[in-house]
Amino acid sequence: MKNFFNGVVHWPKLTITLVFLISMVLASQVQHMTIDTDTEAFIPKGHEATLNNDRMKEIFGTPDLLWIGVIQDAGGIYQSHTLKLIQTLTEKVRLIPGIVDQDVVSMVTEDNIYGTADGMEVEPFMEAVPDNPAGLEKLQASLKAFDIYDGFIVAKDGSAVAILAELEPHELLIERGLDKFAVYQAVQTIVDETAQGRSEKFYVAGLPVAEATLGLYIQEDMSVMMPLVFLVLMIFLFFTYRSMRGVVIPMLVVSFSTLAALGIMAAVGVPMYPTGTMIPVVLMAIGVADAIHILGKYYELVLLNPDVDRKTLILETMEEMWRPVVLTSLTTAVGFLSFLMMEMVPLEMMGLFIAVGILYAMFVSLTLVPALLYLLPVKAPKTLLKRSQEAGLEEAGYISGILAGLGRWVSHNCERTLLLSSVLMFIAAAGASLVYVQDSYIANFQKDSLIVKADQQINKRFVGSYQRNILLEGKEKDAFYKPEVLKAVWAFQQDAEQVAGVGGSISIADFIRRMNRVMNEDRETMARIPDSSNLIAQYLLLYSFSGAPDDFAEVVDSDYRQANIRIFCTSDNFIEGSDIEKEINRLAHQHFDPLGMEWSIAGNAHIGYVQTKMITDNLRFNMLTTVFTIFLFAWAMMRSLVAGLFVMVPVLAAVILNFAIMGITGVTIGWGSSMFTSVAICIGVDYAIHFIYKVKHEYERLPDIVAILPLSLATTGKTIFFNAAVVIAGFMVLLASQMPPNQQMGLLVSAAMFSSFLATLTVLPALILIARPQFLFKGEKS
Amino acid sequence: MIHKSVFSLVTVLLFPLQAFALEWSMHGSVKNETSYFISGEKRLDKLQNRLDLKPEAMLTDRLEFRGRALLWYDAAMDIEANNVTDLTPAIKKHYRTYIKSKEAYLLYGGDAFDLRLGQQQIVWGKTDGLRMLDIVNPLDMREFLLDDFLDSRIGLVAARLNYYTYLNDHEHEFEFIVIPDARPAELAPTGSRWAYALPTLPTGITPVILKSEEPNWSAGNTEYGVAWRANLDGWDLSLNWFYGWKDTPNLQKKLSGATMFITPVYSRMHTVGGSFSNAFGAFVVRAEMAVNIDEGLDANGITAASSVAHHTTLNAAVGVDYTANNWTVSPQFFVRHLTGWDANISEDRTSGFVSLLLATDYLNEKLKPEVSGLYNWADRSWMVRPKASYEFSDHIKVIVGIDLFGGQSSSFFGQFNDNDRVYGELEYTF
Amino acid sequence: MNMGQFALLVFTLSILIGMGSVLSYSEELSGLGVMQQVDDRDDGDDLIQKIHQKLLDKRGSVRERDMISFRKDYGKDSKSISYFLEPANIRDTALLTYDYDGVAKDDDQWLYLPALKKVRRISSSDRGDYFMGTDFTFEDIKQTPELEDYYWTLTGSKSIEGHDCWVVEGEPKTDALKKNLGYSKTRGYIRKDINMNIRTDYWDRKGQELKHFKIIEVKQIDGIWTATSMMMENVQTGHHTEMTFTDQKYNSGLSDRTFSERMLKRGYRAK
Repeated sequence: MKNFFNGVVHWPKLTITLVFLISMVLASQVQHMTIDTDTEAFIPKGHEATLNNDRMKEIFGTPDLLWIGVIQDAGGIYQSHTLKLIQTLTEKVRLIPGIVDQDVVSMVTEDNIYGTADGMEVEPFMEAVPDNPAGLEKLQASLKAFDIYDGFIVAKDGSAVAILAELEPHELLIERGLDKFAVYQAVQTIVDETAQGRSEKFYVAGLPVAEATLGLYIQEDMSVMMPLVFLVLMIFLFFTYRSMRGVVIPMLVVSFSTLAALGIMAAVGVPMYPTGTMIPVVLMAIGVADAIHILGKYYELVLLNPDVDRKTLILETMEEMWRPVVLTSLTTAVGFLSFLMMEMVPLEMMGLFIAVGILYAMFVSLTLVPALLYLLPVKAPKTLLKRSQEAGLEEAGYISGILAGLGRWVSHNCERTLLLSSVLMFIAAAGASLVYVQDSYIANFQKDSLIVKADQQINKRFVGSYQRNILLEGKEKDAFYKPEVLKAVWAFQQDAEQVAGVGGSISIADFIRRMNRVMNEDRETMARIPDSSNLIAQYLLLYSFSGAPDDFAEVVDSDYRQANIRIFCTSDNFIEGSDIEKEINRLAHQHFDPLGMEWSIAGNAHIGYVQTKMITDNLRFNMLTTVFTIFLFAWAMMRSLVAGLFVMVPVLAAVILNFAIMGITGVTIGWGSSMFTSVAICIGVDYAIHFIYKVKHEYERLPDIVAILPLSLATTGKTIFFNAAVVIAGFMVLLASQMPPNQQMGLLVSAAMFSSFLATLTVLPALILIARPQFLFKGEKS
Repeated sequence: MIHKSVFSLVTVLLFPLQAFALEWSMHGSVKNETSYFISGEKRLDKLQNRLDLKPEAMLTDRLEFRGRALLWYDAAMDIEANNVTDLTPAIKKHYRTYIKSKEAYLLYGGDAFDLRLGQQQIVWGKTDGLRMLDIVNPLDMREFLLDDFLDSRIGLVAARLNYYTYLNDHEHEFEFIVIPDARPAELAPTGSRWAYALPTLPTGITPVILKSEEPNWSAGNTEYGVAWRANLDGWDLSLNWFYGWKDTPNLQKKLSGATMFITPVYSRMHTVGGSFSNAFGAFVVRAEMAVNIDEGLDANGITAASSVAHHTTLNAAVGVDYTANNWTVSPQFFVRHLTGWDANISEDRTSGFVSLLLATDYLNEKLKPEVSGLYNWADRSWMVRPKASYEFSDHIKVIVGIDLFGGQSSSFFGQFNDNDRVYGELEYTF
Repeated sequence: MNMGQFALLVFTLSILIGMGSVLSYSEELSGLGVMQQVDDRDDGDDLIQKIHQKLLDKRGSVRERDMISFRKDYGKDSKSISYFLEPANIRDTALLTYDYDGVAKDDDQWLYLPALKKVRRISSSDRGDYFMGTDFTFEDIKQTPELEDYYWTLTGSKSIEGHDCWVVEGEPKTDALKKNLGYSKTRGYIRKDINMNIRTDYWDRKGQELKHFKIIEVKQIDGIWTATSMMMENVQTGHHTEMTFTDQKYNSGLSDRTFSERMLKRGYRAK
């Protein structure tokens, strides 16, 4: 290695040019980056839930509906002027590119079924807007009587109307140069235009809206917040080193590694998933560490040997630092590579490219940093110089003094330190036990945002904008002509609608019931499945005389073998979802298994539920594998089992404290917060390794552990402090963010930094003193 | 005076009511209060049949009228025979009937201020039972301190402006009071059982009480007050200033031969003070302080100049309420200190009271027993008042109780040693 | 074992327990989680409503009161003011409460007693005190209990009058709290669909059944689920209190000035 650094220092300009060139070539690839915000990407292809969902979409169309709610609290919606507005709005929505024209559903588009003397008539509920009270009353009565539409396209209390629009499939949208967000925006624009000067209130909601906007809003928010984070980081770096060098060098490392990671990602054709925003974030938190440690060591040597020339000092710095820098980078990288075991492509890719970025940061730190240091003259502040010469490095600056004092206190009170830390851990354990899994798309938006308000209103007034679908498969063709099958479907629906969070459901059984009712003098009691399959077949025949052939396409396939029960849920939150899933599963077993029918669950609410469940189920495994991988790696690199265990201590402490903070602040485990645990682990590892190496290095020079602890704290400890302080200051900026997930990130990354810092500087020295591990004190008898 | 206020009540009540009243209401109560002296000469103290009326009207959204009139007939004054000591025709006349307007004012509620014009009761301070900062309205002391202050306070015609403003996120209240209707306390008639004992005079000297010049409705006699109130960090705070008349007179004495001419004189004084209260767990601490600048004080001299002194007095009180398990225990401590005291002054340099209230309730607050006691630690006299109230229904309530006095006969409470009484009250509210 | 080994042992233990509690995170809702949802339920930013109280003892004697109550939320804190309108003997009695979230700060309470014409600061620490002779304690009449004061356990689900409910048991954390609140245990039934506590059973400090709380009628008013009728019965005394709520007005933008000593003294007059 010595030759390598000799070479770097010998040809600094060449080194710098080469690193710049490589970085720029990689960075130039970023332009080929594609973006994939489709949330289904989270679930591996071939997963049962995706297969079912794809099958359902193929046969019955997508459940991903955009809900437009028109609310008229003054007098209800059965007023001619409101109905006219709904008519024009429906027409306008149908014309929006990206919306499937014939699949827009509202009281304007849907048909009523009623009985006539010679059969059955199928006609729109509202061909023309009624302009007299009798007409309005009749319209209201006919919608009220058709029970599936009551609550679905009209609020049960008559206060609101829903217009449901289906988006074209993802691929088709891309082809047209559109995406979900663009379509949502187009809808919102039309709605806003219509709302001008109207007394009705308008809301647009639905899972496509949440999905489309979430990723974009997070990124938009990030693009405002990240420069701020950068700025604060730079200001803090400047005040730490009081030189531009101290700002520029770490920032170059972070920027180069981020650009390189994203560039390589683009070059190999991996798209940017919503998780991609984590890459610069993590690199910023961890990537600066290498540069800061090298700078720290360099300054330390400058203070000790003001008269020695730069080249020697740089070589000496790199000689001492390359091992910890390489080791920390490798362990961190390995830690993030453990994401590859997670089955979910966006998370796997995030882990992989963070690892790439960290390794690139290591490369830049070992080449560009010494080369730049060599080219730039160094001037240590005179006062510091004087003080460190007179009183040793421990007194170079207030922070060194305080940290050296802390070191002295810890070395004299190591048992106490450990016991105090234990108390903290016990308290943290109590806090950590409050953490539970809860997630929903909507929770990611600010409580008073338009999207949340729309979601609340629509799910309050209508059956619910989140769908779970039961795909039912009969054994043979025309299975859904059979009364016993339809009765089972209806019984299932009735039970399912009792489950909390389920607002309503629609199936072919509902249409048959309706037909039976209208063919029996419109008696309410006859809204049931008839007992004869012949009768059912006759009804459907009668219907076909006046209805369109694809009227039931969303609930049953053309040969009546497969059916789709649409269950509408009022929220997508995980806890309610798991309850609904449990109940629906139970009910499906109860009603369909005796008939020997195959069934499966699909739908956007189900997919969301499965996603969250996969992530949170994996979290335990993921935490353990990350910790264990790092442990094995540290063991191998330092050739000592005990060293591996020691490295684990700040890591585990950081994880526990992070969970405690989540518990206390009410942050639940969702797919955002679970990722930060890994960040906490990796940061803890870095600090521990740097500190252990320092102690080891000093001990080789001066085998007096009580003396070198304060020194290690005053030097490496100080660097760790700066590192933590700078990153915390930067990330605290995120607390001012508009998006709750970004606020969480600010909180949790700062917490990870702080707890790792605390554990490394207190618990680790105390442990070293008490346990006197072999890997540090070779030959010494304890 | 009585007729004037009744008249004002009636006019204020009737005119606007017809002119622009939107809604009006009449609440009140009919009540019998009967008490019997069980020491000294045992006889009926009172058999009062009271009517209490509270007319109110909403004149506009912002303008209200609120009034209260109290009237009674005390049958005891006709049942008990005349005597020459405490039941002379004059004393009987004083006690037999009562008809007074207690309050009659217009309230204008602005956004940031309330303005009250008319006869009203203005209550300051935080302590119960004795008045330190509660000095704005004088008392009708026909039953010493036993009547509820609400009934014994004399309503004064006043203008009161309460202005509210937000400073640093806290609401601050500024109160401005102008009272043209200065009046002294109405003492129990001399000779009656609730009258204060006259200063003892050497034998052979005849007291002659001259007519006093009472503060009255005139520009020069006008009283003024300002107060500030706010809740800061959980502390309820007030600062108060009042420039008014001392409610009770000082006795200016002049010995002329064997005749002592006694003239009750009233003097003006400034009072500055303040109060606070806050809750600490189960405890509520309340305190108030009033500094009377150059308060008139009785002295032992026998000339006009030497029988009345003026000194600044410090009056302070602190009380604690402790509530637990449905019991309230509330001790209070009062202290009065005279600066510039000398041996000639009839009062002690430092005097004061302690009081204790014990209260609880049973049967979902239908039955409420309580005992309150006041002890004057300067002259060691005391008063204890156990009582219990029971609500038969939302409208009918019965109270029974005993008032007991003790101490030397010249002491604050001891002078009423012979006035121990039992009483019962039956009230119907509507 | 020397001090160092002991410290090492304790520390190792603390890390193990810490990791244990990290890894044992729950995928299901905890009792606290349910109560949190109850606490987070949308109950409007402010509310005006009339309250009719009926106090009935076991002999059948009835006392009735009418109140009007105003509430406004300030983040997680809230302020409320309630005036008694009827009967005449307590007319104008009014209670002002600043309810602070969490247990760090006691609530502030003031009572205006027309008989004294004074606003009295009253202690809010005795939360087990009964409110104005009703069967509701000061704690019971709050929106939700202080979550930090109880251990909450989700014991299951149960259908109550056709509504699927969570069953959550609460136990005050310390003996002092049990004494203060007057309960050793509570069991609440929370409607899953609207996160509303519709029934609670209370046990006294001796562990005997004390009270039953029941919401009799729930309505959606201005889109907010609102209890319009409720009942609390003391099974030991046979006394019970019925409360009906009418004339609700949500989110009318109540001014901060509504919740002040000024209004407490002025009393409420229908406009």
